[in-house]
Amino acid sequence: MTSPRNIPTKLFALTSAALAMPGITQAAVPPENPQFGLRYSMYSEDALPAANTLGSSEVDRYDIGVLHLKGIIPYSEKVSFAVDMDYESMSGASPWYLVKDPSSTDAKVIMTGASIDDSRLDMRAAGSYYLPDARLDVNAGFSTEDDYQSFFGGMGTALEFYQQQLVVDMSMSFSADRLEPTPTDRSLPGTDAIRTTDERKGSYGIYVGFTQVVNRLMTFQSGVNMLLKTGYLSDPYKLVQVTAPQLIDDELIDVANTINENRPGDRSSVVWVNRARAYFESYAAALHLDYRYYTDNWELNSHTIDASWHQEFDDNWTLTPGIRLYQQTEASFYAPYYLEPRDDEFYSSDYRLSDFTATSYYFDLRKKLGDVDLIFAYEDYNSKGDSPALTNFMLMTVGFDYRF
Amino acid sequence: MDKKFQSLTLGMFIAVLLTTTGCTVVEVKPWQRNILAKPVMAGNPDPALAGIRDHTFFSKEGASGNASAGGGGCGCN
Repeated sequence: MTSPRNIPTKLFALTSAALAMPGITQAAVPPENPQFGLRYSMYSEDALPAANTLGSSEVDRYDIGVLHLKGIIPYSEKVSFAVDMDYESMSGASPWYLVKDPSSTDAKVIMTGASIDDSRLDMRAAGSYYLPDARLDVNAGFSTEDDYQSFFGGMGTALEFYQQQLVVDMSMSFSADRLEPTPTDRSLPGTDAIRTTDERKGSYGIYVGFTQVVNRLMTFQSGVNMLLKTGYLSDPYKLVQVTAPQLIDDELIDVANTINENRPGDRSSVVWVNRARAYFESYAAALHLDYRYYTDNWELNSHTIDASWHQEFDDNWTLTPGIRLYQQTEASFYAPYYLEPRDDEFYSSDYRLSDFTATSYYFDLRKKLGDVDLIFAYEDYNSKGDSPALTNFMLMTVGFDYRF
Repeated sequence: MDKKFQSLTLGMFIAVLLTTTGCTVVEVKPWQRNILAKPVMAGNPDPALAGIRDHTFFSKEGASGNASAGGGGCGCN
């Protein structure tokens, strides 16, 4: 089977759930039993150090609780369904914009204050139809929160060749999103930037790839994912500081203004995905090596390596330590602050578009008890780069799967 | 960009290529696939957990996308 490891949206998780069967090249084999799964995750960002702000004390950031439920329902020998639900509860503060430190060239973070208190519901459903050497998938879902609605869907197929030695995957997807940001709070600084209140965004994706059985202990997967986003791609809650000359008392004087960030209205990306799975019989363990290359027309390029060791123990215990290395270059229009206006008028000081590296260490521990699989997972993520708004966080998950 | 990180990334990528492409593809009969059928050999042993992780990375990083088509979903990026 060819289920993804690094999925950019919940849409992918739908496909993943539909394909959630052991074995990497069993595209045309439906699940045998109904399955129910639950995960609860706690996400917590480290406080922002005082040195990164204009204040004298550290600032708390974001905390999120995520409840994930999934069900897999075999309907017949040829048809199965999958449903997934996520409910996220978010609170805390996030970076609002950066300003130039008056006493140096450093940038300092202005936070939103502990003003964010939101929730998000995400529901997805998928159906799969199994043929002798192929599988057809369709899926659809929606995501809703106070200020953002998204409807998405997709379809795909997996074709088996040479007695399942080779599986070719193709899929396509779309998403239609509507943004309705809360109006500008005029009691806050930076209110000369009036926030937009109604915007649209569209996304269209195509993936083509293959999975090859190399030998009885190894598989290799490679594919290309192309994604196009159009419409309003800015973050409506983020500002930028732009210095521009203004005529004051008949004299041109440079003045620093805070305005809404403004990103280009289209973003096309190409992602090259590679995965190797190798089993070492003498150690009773599997090595997973994933490599992803990403590039887009905002000139943001990225490499991601994810390596994990899946160690099996007696009594159905499995321990998986892993490391993920991530690196990206900055978008062409990114800057922590702008000392003069840009000709194209594209601005963003969002740390997610800055040049940075990130390392995360993680592990998960699993125990199979009859029809129940128990799981505990922990991940520690640390980023490093020029932006003072970069975040470090921990992600902890507990859950179980039950097969009827 | 962090040169040390860049070198490490390149080195690991080469290791992936050597690990995989250095091996000759041999025919594996269905009855020889007990290892390949193990959950630890799945492309994604825990899709639910991977979905949570990837949604987190999607929200905190500039790059996204993987071995499936898709886009949109939330206002977090």
